[in-house]
Amino acid sequence: MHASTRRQLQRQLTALAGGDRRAFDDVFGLCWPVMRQLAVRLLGDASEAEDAAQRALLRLFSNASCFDPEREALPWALTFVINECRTVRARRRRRPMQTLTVEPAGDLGPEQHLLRVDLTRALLDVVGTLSPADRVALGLEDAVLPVVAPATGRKRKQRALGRLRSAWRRIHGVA
Amino acid sequence: MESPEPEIGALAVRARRAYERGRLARAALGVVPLLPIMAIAALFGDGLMVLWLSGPLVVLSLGCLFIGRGLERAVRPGWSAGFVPLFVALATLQRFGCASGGCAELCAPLCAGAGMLVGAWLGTTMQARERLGVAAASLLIAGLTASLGCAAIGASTLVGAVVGLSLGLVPVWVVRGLASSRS
Repeated sequence: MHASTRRQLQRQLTALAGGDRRAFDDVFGLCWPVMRQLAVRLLGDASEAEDAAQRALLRLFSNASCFDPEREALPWALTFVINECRTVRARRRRRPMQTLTVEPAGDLGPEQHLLRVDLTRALLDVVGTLSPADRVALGLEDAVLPVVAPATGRKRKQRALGRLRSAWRRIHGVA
Repeated sequence: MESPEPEIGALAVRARRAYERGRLARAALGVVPLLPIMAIAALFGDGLMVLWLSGPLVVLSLGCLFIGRGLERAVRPGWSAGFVPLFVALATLQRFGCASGGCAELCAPLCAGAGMLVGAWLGTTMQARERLGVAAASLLIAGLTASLGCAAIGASTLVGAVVGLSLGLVPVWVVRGLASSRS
C-alpha cells in the first residue's frame, strides 16, 4: 500500500473510531482489497480466503471504535486477517482424513469390503499419530505446500514415510 | 455468475451493522461505572427517586458514548462533576437525617455550593474550543448525577445543584471564549 494511502487509512480509521460515520466508506474501500489479497496469499484457496477475509473485515468493523490512533492502522487491520487465517488453518489440521474415506463396496465382495474397512481404520490410527507436516508431506492433508527444492520435498516425504512405518510397527506390531 | 458489486454492497451493509453493534457494546461497557454510583445513591438516598432519575442518566450517557464525535468527552467529566454534590447530599442526609423538604435551609445551599464549585471545575477542565453540544451534554449529565443524591432531599436542592453548575460553568466558558477570540 502506498504511503499516502496508508496515511489516509490512518486518518479515516481514527475518525471512524471517534464516531464519524462518514469515514466508513473510505475505511471499507481501503481495507477490503488488501485484506482479501492477504487472505488469498495465506490460504491459497480462493473461496476459503474470501470467507476468511469477510469474517476478518466484520471483526475489524466490530472493533473499529477501540482503535488506538497511536497505533498504525494497516498492521492493525491486517492482524484480523492473519488471526482468521490461522483459525482456518488450524481447522484444516483438525480434519486431516478427508482423503482417507472407504469407498462403497462396488464390485468387491462383502469380505473384501470389510477387509478394506479394517485396513483403512488401522491406517487412520497410524496417520493420526503423525505430525501435520508429515501428513502434508505424504499428501494426506490439503495444505498450501511451501516452495522447496524437489530433492528437499523427496527427503521430507521419505522421512515422513519412515515415521509412518515405525508408527505402524508400534501400533499394529507388524512391518 | 453473480456480479461482485451487489456482494460487496451486502458486505458493506453487514460491516456497517457490525460497526454499530461494536459501538453499542463499547458504550454499554462504558456506562458500567455508573452502577456503583447508582447503588450507593439508592442505598443511602431515596431508592425510588434514584430509579426514576438513573434511567435518563444511563440513556444520556449511553447515547453520548454511542454517538461519539466528541460527545463521549462529556460523559466522564459530567459524572465526576455530579458526583461531588451527590456525595455532599448523601453525607448531609446521613449526618442530619434530612427528609424531603425538611432541611432546605442547610441542604439546598450545601448542594448548590458544591454544584457551583464543580461547575467551575468543569468549566476550567473543558477546553474552550469544545462544542456547545458537548458542554450542554456534560452539564446535563452532571446535573442528573447530582440529582441522584440531591433529589432525595428535595426538588429545591436539585434545582440548586443544576443552577450552581450552570453558574459555575457559563462564566468560565464565556471568559475562555473571549480570550480565545482575542488571541
